[in-house]
Amino acid sequence: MSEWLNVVLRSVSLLIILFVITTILGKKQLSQLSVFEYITGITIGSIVAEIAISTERKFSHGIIGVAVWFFIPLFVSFLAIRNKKFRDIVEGKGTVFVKDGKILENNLKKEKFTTDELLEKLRNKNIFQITDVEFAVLETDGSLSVLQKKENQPLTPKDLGVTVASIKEPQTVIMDGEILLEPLASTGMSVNWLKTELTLLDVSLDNVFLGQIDQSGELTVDLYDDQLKAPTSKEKPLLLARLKKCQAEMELLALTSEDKKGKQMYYNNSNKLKEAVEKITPYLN
Amino acid sequence: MSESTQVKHCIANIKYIQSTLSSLSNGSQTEDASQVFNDTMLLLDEVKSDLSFRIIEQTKGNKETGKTEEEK
Repeated sequence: MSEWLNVVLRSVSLLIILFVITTILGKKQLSQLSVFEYITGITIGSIVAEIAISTERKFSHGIIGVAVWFFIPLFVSFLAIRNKKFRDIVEGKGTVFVKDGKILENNLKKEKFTTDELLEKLRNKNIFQITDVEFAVLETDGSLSVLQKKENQPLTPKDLGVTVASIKEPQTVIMDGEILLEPLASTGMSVNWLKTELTLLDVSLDNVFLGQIDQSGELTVDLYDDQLKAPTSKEKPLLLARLKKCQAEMELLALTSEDKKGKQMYYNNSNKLKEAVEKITPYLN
Repeated sequence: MSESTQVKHCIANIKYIQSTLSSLSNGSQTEDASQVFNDTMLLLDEVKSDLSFRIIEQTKGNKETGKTEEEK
């Protein structure tokens, strides 16, 4: 066999082996690799490169080398999952860089991090002042996790005491003008329902580039023709408006009614409707 | 507009809201949304029955006094 053909065959078979090994060892991104995984990756790569082009070396020896570097990390990761102490040794532990708003200089030195590098990592997280940080830790994968001081954290609906509806991922039911039956079935809707909704929105299936059903069962569409404004359902805003109108009418009746008993009844029902409006609003927006 | 006409208008509105809520509840993908729609429907039922009772009371009162809605 000619030498070049030998290299091609070795390379192709090693590529397949390497692909299988990488798939089995995990799908972590490069930045998420622990030190051990990083070393393993480099070594396997070097061995493979060596045996692919060095035709004077025995192919079987290369395979043995790769197998050793495959099985040891596999065994190590197996042990690391089961034993916390072992995991800390192999994968390392996070290092606290900022605590109670103060930089821990010794820990920076220990990880050979300069202040500039720390500030750069903070800037990557849109933090420009160290005083805004309550706690920061350098993770084992080299990323910096930051907890900002309470006053610098973004407001959430919970902070405001606002009730929000839970979110469920929307299902894509139309793509490139074709109905996707499986996602449609998972929403519990039928093809006939979908066609009726399209008719109500006054669009044809062929003109729909993307159609999704949201958590409330409403169909939203994106059309091929970007000049056309995608129609939206008015059902929910109308419902909310009617409910608010009803509440206002009830309040008006409570004010104008001359009968004391009637006045009280209107007043109570006005409050009930007010409560209902508050409760239902997050689900109708 | 007389009080009973306003009340009847309100009942009609509530019926419309209930039917919309029912269809939204059926089409809802999340349980909590469905629950909120159903709770609102029940609450509207209470309001509707209060209003219906009020209309009956008013009609009775009118019959006793012999006055029509327009006269009032």
